Amino acid sequence: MSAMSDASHGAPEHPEHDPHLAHHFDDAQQQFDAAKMGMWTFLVTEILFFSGLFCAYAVYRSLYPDLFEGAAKYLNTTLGAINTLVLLFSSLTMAWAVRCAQLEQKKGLILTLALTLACAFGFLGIKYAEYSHKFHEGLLPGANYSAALHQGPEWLEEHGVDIHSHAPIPEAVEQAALAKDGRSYGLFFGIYFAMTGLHGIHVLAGIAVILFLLIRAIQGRIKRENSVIVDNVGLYWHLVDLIWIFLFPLLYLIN
Amino acid sequence: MSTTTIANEEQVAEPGGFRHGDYLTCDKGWKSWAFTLDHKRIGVMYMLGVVFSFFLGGMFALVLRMELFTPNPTIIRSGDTYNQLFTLHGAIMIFLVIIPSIPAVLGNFVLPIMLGAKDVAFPRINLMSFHLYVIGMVMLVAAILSGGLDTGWTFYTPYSTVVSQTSVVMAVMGAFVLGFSSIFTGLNFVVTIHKMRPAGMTFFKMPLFLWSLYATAIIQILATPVLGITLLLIVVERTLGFGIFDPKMGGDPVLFQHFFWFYSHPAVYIMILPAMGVISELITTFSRRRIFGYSFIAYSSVLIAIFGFLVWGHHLFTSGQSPVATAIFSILTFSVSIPSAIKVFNWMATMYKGSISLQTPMLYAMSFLFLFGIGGLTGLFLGMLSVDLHLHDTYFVVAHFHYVMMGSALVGFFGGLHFWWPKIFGRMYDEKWGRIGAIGIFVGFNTCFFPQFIAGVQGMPRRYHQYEEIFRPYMVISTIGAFILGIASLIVFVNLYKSLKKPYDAPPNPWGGATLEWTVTSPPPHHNFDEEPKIYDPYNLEAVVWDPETRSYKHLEGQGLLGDGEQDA
Amino acid sequence: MSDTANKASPHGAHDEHGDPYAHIHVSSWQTLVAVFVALVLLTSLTVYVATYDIGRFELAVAMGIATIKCALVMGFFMHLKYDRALNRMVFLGSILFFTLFLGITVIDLDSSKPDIESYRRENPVKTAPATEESKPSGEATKPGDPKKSGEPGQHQKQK
Repeated sequence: MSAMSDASHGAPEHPEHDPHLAHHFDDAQQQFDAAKMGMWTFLVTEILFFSGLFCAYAVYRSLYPDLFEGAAKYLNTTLGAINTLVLLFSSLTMAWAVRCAQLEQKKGLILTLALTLACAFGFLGIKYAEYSHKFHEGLLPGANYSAALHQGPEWLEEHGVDIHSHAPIPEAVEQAALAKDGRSYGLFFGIYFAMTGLHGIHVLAGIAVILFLLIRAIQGRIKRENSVIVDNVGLYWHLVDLIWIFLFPLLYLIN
Repeated sequence: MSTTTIANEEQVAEPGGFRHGDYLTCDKGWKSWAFTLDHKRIGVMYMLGVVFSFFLGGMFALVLRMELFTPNPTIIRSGDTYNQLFTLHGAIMIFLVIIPSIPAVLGNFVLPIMLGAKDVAFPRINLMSFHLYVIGMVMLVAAILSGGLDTGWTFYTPYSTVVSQTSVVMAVMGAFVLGFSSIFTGLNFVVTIHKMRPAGMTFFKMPLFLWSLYATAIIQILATPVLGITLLLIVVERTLGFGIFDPKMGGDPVLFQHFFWFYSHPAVYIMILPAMGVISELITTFSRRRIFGYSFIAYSSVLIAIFGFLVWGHHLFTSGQSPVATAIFSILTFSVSIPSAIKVFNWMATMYKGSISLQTPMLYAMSFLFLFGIGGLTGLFLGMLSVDLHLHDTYFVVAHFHYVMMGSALVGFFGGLHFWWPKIFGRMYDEKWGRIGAIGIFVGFNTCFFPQFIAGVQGMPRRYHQYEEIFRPYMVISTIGAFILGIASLIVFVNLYKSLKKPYDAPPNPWGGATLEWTVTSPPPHHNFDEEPKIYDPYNLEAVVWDPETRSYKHLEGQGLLGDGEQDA
Repeated sequence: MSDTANKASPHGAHDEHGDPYAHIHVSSWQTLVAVFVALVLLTSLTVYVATYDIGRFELAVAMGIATIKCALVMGFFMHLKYDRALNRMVFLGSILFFTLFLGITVIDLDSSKPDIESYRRENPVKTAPATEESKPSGEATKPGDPKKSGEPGQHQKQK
């Protein structure tokens, strides 16, 4: 967050000095360029941060294509697609917020930022629904994966499991479920939760910075001169959107 | 936060003399340090952290060497304790000492001044980077206190995820935080160098130290995030059993090694490149000659940074990597030697027919040339596939990377520290003891690590606390060398520390450097430049002459300036 | 590089003596909405295509569409089209190193797989039982059998 507010650091030392220009910059253009380049460089680190997970995905998908195929059918494509649209819309409102900040349209800025925030919460809400479904069905990463839990209540009752009790699933039933599936999908869900989880953390961070902007906007402290803050938060938010643009087909659209 | 660091505007400097308003004294109280946005103060605080960590890691090293004095258990009873000690030595020395040493201490201090700027582009991020460093340090120390760490600094899976009983998660999170500290420093440097160069100073008119910091920063930005995600994956594997690196779940432990070395091999260049930049400055200044082959040195820094990303597989030669990948990595590894050699040849050519003065920083620079020569050339043996199969995980490797990490990177840091010490603190250290320290480090280092090459060739494996009788002579000599090294380090820092007791006595330019930091007072004023700085050619040393009146070197009036086009080399 | 500087300032008030903020580029709302509509259409397309079995081109098509979407977001929402060439290079640099990381790691893909397989046979755990290995239809990832993704009849999705 301080990355974005850095542009306004430094108190004015001369009365005629532009209050939005930090003391160590020569002019507004230099400050603006530095802020933008700093943000882009930060986005580079973000891309490489995610690259490890994309790399793990690529390696395991080519090693175990059937595992990805089999496991992806447990993901809810409809919810994934809706979430994609939610994020795309939030990107639109964010880009619009940048425009409003540059034009000093205070009401528009507050509205677009609030809409972006709402979409971010909406995204996380849908994600929460998906996650809790996965938890319920035992579709968990690695060691916590349980094949029996997602065979459906009939199958569980057939194998003598009381679906209302919280007792652990007997080993034999788990084995039978695994045999029915053909394999454990734990590895896929490890990757699924790592990728979407890390993305979710970035959404949370995005909520924090957008909230910060919203407060500033309501206080009327965002002017054309310091609109680069909105611009940079926007860049971050679009990157979060971009990562989801790739995650969606990679995780949800496997046939 | 920023209120603590606003300059005391009334403390105006007297031109030419020592001033009251320098960055060390312009503000008082611990808060004016801990929350400062001044890049110089941040650099000094980093220095404290690095030196503290250096002695902490050094203590572990001495205990290890004590243990290896005899083939049987000497002072450590169990192999587990030994494992913990070498892990902590490695982790502290790499994450807390070498990686931040030159960029975060010297780079932070010098970079904006060399550019004629008042500060780095993002002072708050700079401060945040330091705070992250402190947090990471606390977490690493907390890991030591709460169960230690025995995975080796490489955190190899599955040992680190399913076997080790030590506090891996805490240590890994500490390294993660330190990684972000390093990223933010690099980000700041890249943007500062791109956007805040003064008019007339193009990329190819910058001091070479800035080129090396730039190349380093690129690696920090591109490689460190991959370490971040790798460490996070260790955490989720260990706590939640994600299984991405666990063969029981179908994961691939070798994939971890790929991830890890994608960062950690370039990280080797994060450590060595800034040292090379320091050496470029030292050699040209103390030979009183324009640096030879400027653009070759500049390009070779960037080339090393790029090649550094292509060779990580040479750490996996014996990890079951495919033959194709192994061969490719072996060939690429050799390519790194080309830009490294270009640098060494250019430094030697700079010294040729120069009027060399063997002051303390120059002694370090010459140690660097010698030690880096050995460290670099033994790297070629290890890059060779067939030889590496014999030498892998022997003391040969240990000696090789100590020659590069300690013998080159840290010697470069010490050299730079002695070079810029008068500028940072405004005091000259005792030259005689400075030279004794430099020679002591050189002698102690070679005594300690050269025998390890021989032990390694004879097949002594690394990371064991006991060994065969035949290796005893090498290990005894090595231990003696380690203690010489320890004592020499102590001499170095006691000597530096003693200088702080004196009043300011350093002239603006004690060595005759031509870069901009030598044009301001020692220590520099709070905003670096009280008036608009004149931008000088960093390597026009003929224009810098000794002025007996001020007991300082200074630029001849109107000469050596950049931007008027006449001094293009 | 001065393509950002000649945009008209929306506020005449700032223009007294050369607007120091003239470098700010303002996107028109029509552009933003048009990009959004294109993104939605492309999302629908990728979901639609995924309901058909197009075999081994599946991943390529999905990634192709995602890349187009990515380019739209970067070019317009992130202003990269109007931004400095340096920032474009910074971004392309990240893609280059991403590719390098992925590309070289993938070279080494298969080499440890036999070891993992044998390790799993020797160290069965609860979630990866030995019975799974013995089922002929279950374990499709033997070293000599890398392609199974194009098999028909497996693309039922949970709705």
